Amino acid sequence: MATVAQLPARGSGSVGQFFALLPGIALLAVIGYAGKLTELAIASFGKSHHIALPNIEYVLWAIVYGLLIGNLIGLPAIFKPGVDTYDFWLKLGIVFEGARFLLGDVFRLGLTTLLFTAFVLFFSIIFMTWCGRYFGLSPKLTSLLAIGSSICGVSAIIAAKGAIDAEDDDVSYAIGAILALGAFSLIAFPFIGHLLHMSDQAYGLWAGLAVDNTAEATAAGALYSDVAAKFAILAKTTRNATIGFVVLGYAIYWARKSGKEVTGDFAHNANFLWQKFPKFVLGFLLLSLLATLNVFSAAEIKDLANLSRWAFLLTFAGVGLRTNIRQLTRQGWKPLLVGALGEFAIAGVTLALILLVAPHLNP
Amino acid sequence: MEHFNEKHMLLKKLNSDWWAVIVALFAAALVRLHLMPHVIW
Repeated sequence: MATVAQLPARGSGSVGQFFALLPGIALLAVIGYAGKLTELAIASFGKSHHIALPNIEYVLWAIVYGLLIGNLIGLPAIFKPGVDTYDFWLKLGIVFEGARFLLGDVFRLGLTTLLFTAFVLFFSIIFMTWCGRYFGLSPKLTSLLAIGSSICGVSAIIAAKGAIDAEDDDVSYAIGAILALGAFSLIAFPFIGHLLHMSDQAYGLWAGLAVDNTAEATAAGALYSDVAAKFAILAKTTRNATIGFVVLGYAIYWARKSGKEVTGDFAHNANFLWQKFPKFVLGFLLLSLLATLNVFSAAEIKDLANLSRWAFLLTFAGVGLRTNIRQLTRQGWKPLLVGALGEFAIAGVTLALILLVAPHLNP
Repeated sequence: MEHFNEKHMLLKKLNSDWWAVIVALFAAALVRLHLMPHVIW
């Protein structure tokens, strides 16, 4: 299982907690920057020797270096608190990305994404439920896999755990399956995108709609192109925003099924939705609004976009470091198989939708 | 499995969500007020 949040030991105080983060953050920066240097070195080598080498983005190198260090050497405890901040850098990078969008585009593409998400969710629930029954998985594990693959991976599964009262083992299996498939998508998505000669926008929307974890969706987009990453982030952020509604729906379903009284109290449900809502989306929208109101000049927007790239550089190093291949292979084949079948089906259906709609979307 | 303690994770998630917004807005203000040198990539 991937390393998941471990805060510094309590009692060490805020300053102590802050300093405990520094070694891990420095490691993320070193690995990410090594990825960037590798990309530049390969490009420079090809140029000076007049060889047409493929441009392999720093994203892939950062993830590969992280994977090698995390799995071959292991991560010393001193680095763990800082490495776990990769999630923060991801959200920070996404908020900065807001400045690259006009609010009108956000709502137009966001609406398209929402319609796709609703369709994918509907499809995913039916398909996963059928697959789960066929392979004899527990109903709650099936629900977790459906939530994870249709909305947003690990965050959605964690959010759903308490809401549907799932077993710890089921949660562990579902997260393992989603992470393993997320790692696979980093290879498969750019390959298919290039094979089909997809436009940056169409590919980005596809990656944002079909890759489960936000970090992997961003990486899958960035592996294709910078513009594709921008659209992958928009689609994924829109998907993330629906997490509360889906988890609430499942919570009501499971409460009814187990004979508990379900309250229809609006205030209670609204509070639940707010709790589960990813707040960084508000920051993304706010920066998009400021950019739309011409608060930033073109040079300032470029600065913000570059800040976003630096934040993602730390994120991608963290994606590699937290992926523990040995633990991913220990989780049993059934959840992985059901997850994989669901992912392939969702990726295929989403791809067909995108290819159908892409010609009608303005770049 | 203690890593997946929901309350612990959600608290962290909420915190990092808001921190990301605060840090990004602060950095955007610095960029807008030209208090930060040009960010190169």
